[in-house]
Amino acid sequence: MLDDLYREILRDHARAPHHWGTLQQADVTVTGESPVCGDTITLQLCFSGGKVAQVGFHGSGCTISLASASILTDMIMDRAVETLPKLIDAAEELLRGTASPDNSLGDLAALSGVARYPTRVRCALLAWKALRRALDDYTGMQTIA
Amino acid sequence: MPANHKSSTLGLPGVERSTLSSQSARARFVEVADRSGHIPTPVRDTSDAGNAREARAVETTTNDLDIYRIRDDFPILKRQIHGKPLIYLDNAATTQKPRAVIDAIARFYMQTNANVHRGIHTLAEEATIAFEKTRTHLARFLNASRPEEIIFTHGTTEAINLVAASWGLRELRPGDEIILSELEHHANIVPWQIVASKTGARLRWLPLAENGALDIDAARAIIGPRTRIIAITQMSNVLGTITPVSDLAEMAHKQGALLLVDGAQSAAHMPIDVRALGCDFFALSAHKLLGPTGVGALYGRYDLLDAMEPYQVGGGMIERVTKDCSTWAEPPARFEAGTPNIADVVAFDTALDYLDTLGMHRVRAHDQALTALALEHFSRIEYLTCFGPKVAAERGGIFAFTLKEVHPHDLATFLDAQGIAIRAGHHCAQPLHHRLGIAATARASFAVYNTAEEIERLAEVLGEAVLFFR
Repeated sequence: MLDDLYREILRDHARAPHHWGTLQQADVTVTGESPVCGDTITLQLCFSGGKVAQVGFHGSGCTISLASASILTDMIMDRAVETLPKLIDAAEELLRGTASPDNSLGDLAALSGVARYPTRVRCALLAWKALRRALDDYTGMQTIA
Repeated sequence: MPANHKSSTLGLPGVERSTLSSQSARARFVEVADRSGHIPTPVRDTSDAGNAREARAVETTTNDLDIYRIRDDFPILKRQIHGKPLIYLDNAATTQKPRAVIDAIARFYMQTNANVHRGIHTLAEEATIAFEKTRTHLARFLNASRPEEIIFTHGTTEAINLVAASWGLRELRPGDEIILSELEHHANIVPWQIVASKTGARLRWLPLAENGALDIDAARAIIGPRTRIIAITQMSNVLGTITPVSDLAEMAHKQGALLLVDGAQSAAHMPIDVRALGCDFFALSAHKLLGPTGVGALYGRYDLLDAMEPYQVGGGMIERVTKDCSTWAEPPARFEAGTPNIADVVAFDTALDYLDTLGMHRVRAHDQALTALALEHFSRIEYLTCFGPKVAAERGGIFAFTLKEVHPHDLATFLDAQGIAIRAGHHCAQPLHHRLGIAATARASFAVYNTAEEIERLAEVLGEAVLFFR
């Protein structure tokens, strides 16, 4: 039962998260916190030519939240900014269990088991919610500029 | 002479363990001998769900609770979780209910349901009598001086909010001091923050000593002439720490200040005598006392309540209402606006009966025995850090702990897969976790129906978790 949730791939991500650390310079920095449990994920992004040029994250959290954040950073690197909102929607649907995993979501499919643990869905969503806020901040800044 | 196994003795003197082969899968009788070889009452061990484990002995002393008989009274304990027997260790969050309490709710709705305090007809009278019976019973349970000192609320949170709003907002002036502790649950912090910001009063904090007990010397330095109220938990919902409430009452009263006690946890773990403690207010929750959710109570000294303005207003708490103004009823009615949670208050009486039958001093003894056992097991698990006092007498059976490099969430899910229910997070005590320097903890908390075997199983699975996640 636990293998369903804690696949090896997730534990690898959590033990050695990708894009871990603080960026020297970031266009946008967002921290997502779970009031329920103390998990906290800080996401930093740099953009260039309409794409995600650099990403970094750090924080403290459970295996699921860290793995989800790590996978997120892999998925958004070099992606066009305008594709990100749809990606976030697709990720949230997968994690909530309202959509089945498909190939386009890569390692994130490993988190599809989370949908069967409603109390842990919140953990998996933390980084994705932070990303959404980061994009809002970024587009907000673009509009002002 | 029974074999002397090296497992713990629960810290109880004069008792040794022995093992016998099982007689049947369903019910095994285990005989326990004390040092002289005398065998007291046989204790039935039905806590395993049919497996080949060796029968474990259960220590008994005279005057002990028959935990296995008690467990039979709680229907939910027969549940399986993911194919394993439920081991419910989240009692600080809420307790399970004996069948008698569940039946009492149904019985009320089937036989005596009516609104209280207002009607003339028979059902209304019966409902009112049943409702007021709980009030009188709770007054006795807490050794209040009269039933009118008991106000029914939705829980401890509302009880504290009531004092903060009705007493705090009215009485406090700029520069007055409200004293809290680093142990407090948010319910005993946030209302006071609001009061402080609205009145100009100042919050001060009693610090913890290193072992999780209250630093009483520091307290002496902080409590002073500006102190108007000390609001303190009697038992921490995270560390299990039992605070020296009577000493704090004395210190408060010497300064002409009041003492409010958050008894949400303590009321379930030990006998409470509000007059002996010397507290002016005491808040508790029925659902942590084997009673229904949605019910709690505030004990308040009558003269204090009589001087307080209402908290919520509307029907049932007035004397006269005209278009221009209204006058208030006397306590406790003054603080019970609207239709209360009648059926659940009535059923709370049954929970109190149940606890009376057990005897709260025996409940405490059982709690201490489990606490001592847990402390011993936890000390033997590598990578496990257990917080709070290391002496069973200084704490209740509530344990926050961390497992190195295993996040409490992951741990909780792992335990859940084995049927073990614990809690993970900050348990509504963020300032405490900040003080401890950790983001989150796992928490196991005991009740009168938990057994030594369940604690041993918890320790076993914690060991497995270490292997799985590291």
